[in-house]
Amino acid sequence: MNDEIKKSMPHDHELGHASHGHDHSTPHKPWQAVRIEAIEGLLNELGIVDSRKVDDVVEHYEERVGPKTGARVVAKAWCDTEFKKRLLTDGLAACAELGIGGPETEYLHVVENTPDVHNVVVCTLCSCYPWPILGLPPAWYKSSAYRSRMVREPRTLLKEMGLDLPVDVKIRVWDSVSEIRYLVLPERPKGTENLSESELISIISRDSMIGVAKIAH
Amino acid sequence: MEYKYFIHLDIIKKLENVEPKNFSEPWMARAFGLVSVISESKLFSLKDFQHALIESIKKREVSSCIEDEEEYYNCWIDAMETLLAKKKIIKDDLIKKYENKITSNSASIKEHQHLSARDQNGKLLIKPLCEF
Repeated sequence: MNDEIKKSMPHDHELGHASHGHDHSTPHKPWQAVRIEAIEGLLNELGIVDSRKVDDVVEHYEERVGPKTGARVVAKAWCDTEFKKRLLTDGLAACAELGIGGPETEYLHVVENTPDVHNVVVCTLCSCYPWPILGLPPAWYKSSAYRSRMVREPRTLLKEMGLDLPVDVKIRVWDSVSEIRYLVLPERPKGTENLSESELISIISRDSMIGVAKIAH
Repeated sequence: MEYKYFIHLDIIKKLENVEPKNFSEPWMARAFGLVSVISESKLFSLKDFQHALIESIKKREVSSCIEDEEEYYNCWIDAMETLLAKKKIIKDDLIKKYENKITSNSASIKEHQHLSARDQNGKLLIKPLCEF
């Protein structure tokens, strides 16, 4: 991911950027989540705390249980065609087979990238994200710039983020909401036929499962 | 970023023997990250926080034991608020006002999403928002 693009997507959540992957349905949101969001928002407005730094800390820890969880799902789908069918039919049920699941995701719809179609996920209103599968969303995912530009000019934005798609590849933009979360099933890179499932997990990135990157190998 | 944040592991393990990588709720991770960043800003030190956390846990344990992560992280929040108030950074009434703003905005988003995620018959709508 291009750092400049990340910087150009400020933490401009209208409430001071303190929503982070959890459901925004306050009636069901624990009081602690609201309290922390308020404190962070206030400290952000006072210029004391940069939420990107908080993101960094959280990502550091969440990486171990976050995107790697999604990578397990993707690697399994690449290696097991029957599992892949079930995953594309019912994402949550297939993930549950691997012991993966949790709150915040009522319905998981998995969208598959092909040579002709590229899928990318955005939450236009806030930061809905399948966090049991991918961990907490990155800072740029929650920015106004990403949320608005991805639906207006996805090809340009993806290019700025380092993913230059051929013009004949169709881009599908999926709007993640509190009731439906999306996971991109990236294309398996050529030359990985001999890699084991655990080796494949190590090459699958978070960004490829959001749809803003391809898997490098 | 490198692994400088491991310093926090020492604090947590010393106090509760909790593996911080396993946050059961996102707000716990956020609370953890927030304290890390505040301490970097020198608003308060990790040592200050550790003392405040110990005091908070002590207060809690006067009436009951800490039996799960939620109770533990409630103390975490309490310690953070105590320090911010002590430093006169954030007053309690300001937090309340901000919380009301969050609540009101979230209710509005939830209602909008509920409607936009369904078709005319009330069924979940699974289709791309747009294609290019």
